[in-house]
Amino acid sequence: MWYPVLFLLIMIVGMIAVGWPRLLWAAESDLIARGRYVFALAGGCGCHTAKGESVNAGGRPLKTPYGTFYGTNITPDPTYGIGQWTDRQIGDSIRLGVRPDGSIVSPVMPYPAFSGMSDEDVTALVAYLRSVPAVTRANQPHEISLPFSGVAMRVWRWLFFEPIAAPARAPTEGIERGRYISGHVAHCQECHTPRTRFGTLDLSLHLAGNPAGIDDEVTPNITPEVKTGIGEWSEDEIVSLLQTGFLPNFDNVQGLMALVIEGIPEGGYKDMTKDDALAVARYLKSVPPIEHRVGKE
Amino acid sequence: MRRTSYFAVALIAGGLGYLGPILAHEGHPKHLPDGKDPIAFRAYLMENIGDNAKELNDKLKAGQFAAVKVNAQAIALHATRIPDLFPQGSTSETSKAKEEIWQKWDEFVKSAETLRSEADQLAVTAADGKTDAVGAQAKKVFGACKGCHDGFRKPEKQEA
Repeated sequence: MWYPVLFLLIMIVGMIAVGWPRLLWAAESDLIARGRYVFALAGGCGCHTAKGESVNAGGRPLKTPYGTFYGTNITPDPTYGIGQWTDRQIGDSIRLGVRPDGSIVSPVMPYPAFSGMSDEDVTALVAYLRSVPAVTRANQPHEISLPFSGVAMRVWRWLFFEPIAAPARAPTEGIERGRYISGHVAHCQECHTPRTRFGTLDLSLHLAGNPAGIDDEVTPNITPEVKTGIGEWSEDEIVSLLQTGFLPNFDNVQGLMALVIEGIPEGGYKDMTKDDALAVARYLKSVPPIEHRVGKE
Repeated sequence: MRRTSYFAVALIAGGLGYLGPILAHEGHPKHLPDGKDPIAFRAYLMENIGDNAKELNDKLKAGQFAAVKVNAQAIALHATRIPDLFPQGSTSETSKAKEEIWQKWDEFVKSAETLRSEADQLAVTAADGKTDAVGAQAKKVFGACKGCHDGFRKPEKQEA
């Protein structure tokens, strides 16, 4: 009597045993693909790839008023990269600026912005980071002008960093989607907002341009102010910039903006979907316009 | 005719002769450059190329394919002037011209020639009424601008 039931059970278990790895593989592949997209939204994490060098292997110099910082190796290399870190430790480094050994990451790494990245996106990003080839490349020490820089980073974080309550899932549409991408993944404000003397963002000039950015670059005002910002740009022109790097007059962006748009071979802003680029455009058109001229007229 | 009248006519004619080629196209300049300063004049020229590029793109979006001919011709004309506006050492603390311009002079001149060639071809394509090809050729023009910028122009930096 129970033979048919047993036979059925054996069949079901057998099918699962054969099919489960493929199901797992498919789920993991989807997660890595999603992580690659999050990576692209973050500008290809371009600060961690030196020109002409292996992806994520570190070494790119970033000149700031506090000295020159060098992007670290975030490949799965067990010695110099993140190969020995747990998923939680990688996530904490991204969102909280804390390494597994308790040391604090420099705020040149925009962890204040990333602290609002959703759990889902961080999980996917971690999966993707683990999937790129490991590169055995030692990290280059920063050339910081501050004395006792390790202590300085810790004090700065204690004084000025308040983690954002990150959502479990990111908004999926509308201006909220644009605000999320702009503020917590693409981290636009980190370059396009001027800094105070303490290195924090001057939020009274949120997105209104920075005359003294990384690598001494002047980053433009991207609020919808007509005279000094992008008030005359259409949403389509903002989308076009994000996807091609061309301005409305078909001049092209250069420097760090070109880097994050073109990205590294694994991805950059240019890989944003049209819907996401439009969401960012709509968000930028919705922020308060601020008259703030940076650079030459 | 009185001597002052002859002088006035000559002055007006000379001014028109100088302004005429500039005002002849639809990318109207915002101001006149100091012709003796290559840095200022080439900044003006590049701005005018940009004005024409924007106008060109607006026309493409509006489906006015034949109308881009005049903008393409203006860009081609400006492109022929580019090398002359970069005499050796014509740079400054605020100039975005890279040293590579003079270190790779032949390559720089070739970039300007590429822009001229692509813009000339765009004018021909627009005049021929080949609407499908106009957009594709316009991308080549903008790509020529980018190619030169990437190789020979610095990103905007803060002033020292």
